[in-house]
Amino acid sequence: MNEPNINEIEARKEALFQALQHYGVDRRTFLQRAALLSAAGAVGAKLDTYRANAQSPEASPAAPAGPKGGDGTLVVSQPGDPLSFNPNYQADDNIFVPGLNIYNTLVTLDSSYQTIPELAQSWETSEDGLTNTFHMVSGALWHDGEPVTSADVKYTFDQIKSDESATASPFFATVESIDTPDDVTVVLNMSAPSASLIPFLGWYGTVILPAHIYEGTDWTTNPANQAPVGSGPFKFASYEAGSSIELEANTDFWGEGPYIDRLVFSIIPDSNTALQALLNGEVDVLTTNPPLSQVATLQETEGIEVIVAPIPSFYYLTMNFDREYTANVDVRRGISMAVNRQQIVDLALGGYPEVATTFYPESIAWAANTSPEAQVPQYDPEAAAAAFDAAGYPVVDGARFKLVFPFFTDAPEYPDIATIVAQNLKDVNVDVELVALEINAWVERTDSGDFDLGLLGGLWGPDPENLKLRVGTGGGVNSFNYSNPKVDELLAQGSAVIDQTERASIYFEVQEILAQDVPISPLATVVLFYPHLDTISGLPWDDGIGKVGLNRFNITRIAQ
Amino acid sequence: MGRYIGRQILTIVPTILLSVVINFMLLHAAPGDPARIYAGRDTATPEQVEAMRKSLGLDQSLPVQFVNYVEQLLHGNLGKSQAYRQPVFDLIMNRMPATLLLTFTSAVIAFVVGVLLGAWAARRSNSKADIGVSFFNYALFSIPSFWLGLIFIVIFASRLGWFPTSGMRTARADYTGLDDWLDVGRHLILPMLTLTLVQIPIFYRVTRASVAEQQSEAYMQTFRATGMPEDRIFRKYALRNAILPPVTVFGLNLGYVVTGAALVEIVFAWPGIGRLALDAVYKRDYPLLLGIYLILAVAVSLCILLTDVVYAWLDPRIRLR
Repeated sequence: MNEPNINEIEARKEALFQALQHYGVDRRTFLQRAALLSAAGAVGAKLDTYRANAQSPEASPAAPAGPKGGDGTLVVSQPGDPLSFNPNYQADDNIFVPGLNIYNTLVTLDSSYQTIPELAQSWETSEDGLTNTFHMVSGALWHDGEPVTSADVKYTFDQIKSDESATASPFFATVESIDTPDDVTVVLNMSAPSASLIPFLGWYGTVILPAHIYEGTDWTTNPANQAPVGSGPFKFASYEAGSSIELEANTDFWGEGPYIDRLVFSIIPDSNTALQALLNGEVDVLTTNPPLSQVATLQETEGIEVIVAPIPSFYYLTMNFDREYTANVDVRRGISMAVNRQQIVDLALGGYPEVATTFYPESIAWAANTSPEAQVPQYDPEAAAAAFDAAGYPVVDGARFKLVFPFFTDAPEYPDIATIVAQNLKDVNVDVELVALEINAWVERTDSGDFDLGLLGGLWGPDPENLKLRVGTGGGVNSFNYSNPKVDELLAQGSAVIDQTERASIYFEVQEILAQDVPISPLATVVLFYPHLDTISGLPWDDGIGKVGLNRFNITRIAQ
Repeated sequence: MGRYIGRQILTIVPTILLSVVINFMLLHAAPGDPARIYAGRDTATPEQVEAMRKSLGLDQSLPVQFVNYVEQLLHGNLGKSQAYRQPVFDLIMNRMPATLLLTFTSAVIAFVVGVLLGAWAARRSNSKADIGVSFFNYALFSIPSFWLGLIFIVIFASRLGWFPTSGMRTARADYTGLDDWLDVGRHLILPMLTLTLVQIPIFYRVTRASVAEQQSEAYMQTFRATGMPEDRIFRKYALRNAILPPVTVFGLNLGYVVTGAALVEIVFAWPGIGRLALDAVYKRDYPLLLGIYLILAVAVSLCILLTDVVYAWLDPRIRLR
């Protein structure tokens, strides 16, 4: 694939500026960030840049080591206790952020979900897509002083692949073997090409673990799971159950930073309390959303800045193919047209996110089909009524039919969205039985198939490979049993092709089929808010884009 | 007396065993699949979930799991948490000091205040003061603790700045010795106040009813006829007799408060057992929940035993029956 031409970059910048303007970022701030973003785009999205620039197999030198520490203590909020300090063997959102500051990944995703270097400073994929070669930074050390080598990477990936219950295990399905020709080179030999492997390496459950500590032990019970030894910018200092996790600056860190001396994760389960703690100066940064109704006030509050970060994710309705009404495509299209997305955004989501018009999040621009053929059927109650009539469900005694709609109550916006959807449907004479459930009960309910409508969120990135999970036959969150052989075939093709343009056209076609079948109806994009004291800069969600991975605080600074 | 205590202890054993059985069945009857949770609710493939189920030992049949669990208990082992993969006993003990500090102090203060208020109001039965205090107590009784907690945070931490917002220690500081104790004390006040206020009505109502009952007893009439001052009758006889029911409630309440404090612990980010239990519910961490409930069952049984013994010591009729 070619480098993007200058017009494309400008067009992308303009689109981004408009998007940011929507979120209240002024032009000056924008221009400062634009440079970063276009750099990130050029670095991350384009594998070929790396192919072209790939250096000789010798290691690239470690990044300039900036000052280590000196800025004092940064306190960030954390919603709950981690189950373990080993982020790899099971899914646990509470170790995600601390883990990424203790450990490194081989490559990483920045907050715009572009792949950027971390332990691997460069990498290349062979023409046939069957060999991925990574060139690691030299001079990286574990927190106990041992060198970080390709053997650690090999151990970690082999372990993830061999433990079928590990979160990232399925990503490694096509990795046949791993070679380590020298201490700083890792070669993944593939049984089939997989373009999505590299972004997934930087996402979830893939931190590089120290082989000298873990090898030959049970990685679910190794004592290091309570006292982690990583290679990241911060060293583990202490953990008080229920209270806090304390990390200290790793003065031997191989990359830029850290500038702060101590990083404290203060465990505050309630989002209202966390917000008060921020306003009272006890916490510097919130790593989870404040109550959405408070965002507007927060943006006006002196001394507080709010980073608005759209992520490649939707709130979306699912429609069960095994049930009488929703098995009918006209009904599904009607439901999609009955829902007033703007109302959802305004009333349930604090007014910030964009309404969803595409079947893949536009924040992963290359994979989102924005053409009219692939549009999500938008709000049009009359057309919705006509669709229901066409399906053979006229209004009888005030109602056409009744849908069962279980939703989970563990995040505050889901009940709100469900209520609005139910009201919208009632407006076109469709009765809805809302069933509020705790999340695990809800999972069991949807797995059992006892529902007509479902409401889901979850990340759609870092790569459209993720669509397999959502709309592929038997996919992990395809509880609504959508199954289209053509979609499955295209998704399989999309995994096997490396070239991004070729992949894009495959996924574009998938989205056109989704627009025909309407198995799901995306409602709105998901936006995350990161309020912080205005004395803090260099946070991963804005200044860190293109420089540091998701949720890493190594370039964070505290104004003195 | 010794035989009496022995007999009471013997009745505790089946009680606790029964609680283990009931807890085990209830927990497994609740919907939710731990294997699905730990494999990743969003992303897990069916193969991943099965592998996780196997590694957690949840692929065995329920009776087998139960027998294994009981066998473990008989060896004095509460087992390993599925979520944390650490000994249940250690996880609980990590949280014990914070829980005892918060729940015990608030229970004691609520007991003292509730009993005094109840006795005071009972002596002024149906006066304006009695109606006022009763109204105040009903109001407190109907306020949800998490809401009261949040209001206290907004008023006393955010507006007035008198107390820290949440947590047990200042995250930024690294106090030791006396400073550390003072720091914990400052953090304790708001959650303790919240938990105390919601418990006061429990003791208030029991005491008020109990004192009122004593005052209508015939012996009071006799004392009054002898010309003994009202205050003396009350302090020396009525209150002593009336205090027994609140003491019983105190013992029972203590068991409830440990988990019932969860909402207050969440609002104030207090690192107690209630939060651990609630997290364990969301994670469907059966061994951890069973462990917490078992320890609670033992604690409540011991409290009841202690109350029984105190009663028997006070009142020979009980131990001779």
